[in-house]
Amino acid sequence: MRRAASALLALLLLSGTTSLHSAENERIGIVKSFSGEAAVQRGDGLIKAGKTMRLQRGDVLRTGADGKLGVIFDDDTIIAVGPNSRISIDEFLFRPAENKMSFVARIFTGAISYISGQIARLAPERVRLETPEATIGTRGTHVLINVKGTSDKTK
Amino acid sequence: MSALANEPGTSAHDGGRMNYGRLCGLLFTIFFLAGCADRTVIVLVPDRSGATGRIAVTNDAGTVELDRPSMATSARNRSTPPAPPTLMEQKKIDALFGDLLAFEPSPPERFILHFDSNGITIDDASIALVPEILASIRRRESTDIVAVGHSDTVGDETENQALSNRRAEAVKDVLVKQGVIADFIRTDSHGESNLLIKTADNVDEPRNRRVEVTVR
Repeated sequence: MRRAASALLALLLLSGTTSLHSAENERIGIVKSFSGEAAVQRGDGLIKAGKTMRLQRGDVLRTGADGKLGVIFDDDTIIAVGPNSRISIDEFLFRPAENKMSFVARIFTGAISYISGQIARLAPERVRLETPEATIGTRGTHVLINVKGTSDKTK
Repeated sequence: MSALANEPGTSAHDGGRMNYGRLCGLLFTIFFLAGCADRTVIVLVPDRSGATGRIAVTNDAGTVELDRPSMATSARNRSTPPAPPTLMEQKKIDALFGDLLAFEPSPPERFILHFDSNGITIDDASIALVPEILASIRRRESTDIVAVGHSDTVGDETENQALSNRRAEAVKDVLVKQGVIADFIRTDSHGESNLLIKTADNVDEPRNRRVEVTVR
């Protein structure tokens, strides 16, 4: 029970920090494909992936043992997420006219294929893929990352 | 969502342990195949055009750069440098990532529609593109279509912003009349700020009078 409460608190803190830089509920991309157990964790809710689903900053993509997700972001960045994954989209900002751009995804566990979009082309230094063990900076274009699951050492 | 609910750290149910054991077995198999014990594995592969980009893998202990197809590294923890780059065999890439590669959404498709001088009338050659756009929307079952309007540099900047907005709306109207759900189409306008062909001010350039449609 205490563990659940602290997890919830961590989640609240996390969602608090993600709304600093962009408007709440601002769309950042769409779920283009999904299969098996695939969901988006938003705040403390878990939303099953579905057609016409729009993503927001701070969303955590989660898949079960048979789950997959395909996402196209508003700057044309494409990701595919494999089974048993937990990946959060910590930052997404695409306002090229104001030179405001960033993309930061955090892979806690699981597998991701990343294909860079316009943010990586226009502002490569502001694209980061984080795993618990390393930070991947990219000038494009197609990167595959696997992070082995462990107990809760991902924070 | 049983496996999600039972993930360690979010629940204290006993069922979580069983899934976790199965997960470890699967991952052990994968990593035995890959011949790698490090927790994070990273591979750079070519994109659809055949080109390969460049990435830097960094942690507290060092940086490794990957810049060739199939070049891979791995990392154990933040305080151990990422492994020196090696080339990963294609069959190892397939074993680790084959299913994932097959699941990648296909890249968005882009169409450019041009306009008669100073108006919001789509020119004849561009009208012929509309069926292709509709086919793309159907094929992709797209729910995310963006129409961005642009102008040439003739006339006032503010007016051109408004004009390019009306062009984007005109394209949206055409698609909606053909049965596309209005809620799936967003419009934006860049006026003369994003020229396809760079020109001086007050230049009549047909190629700059356009709406770019992206079907995601």
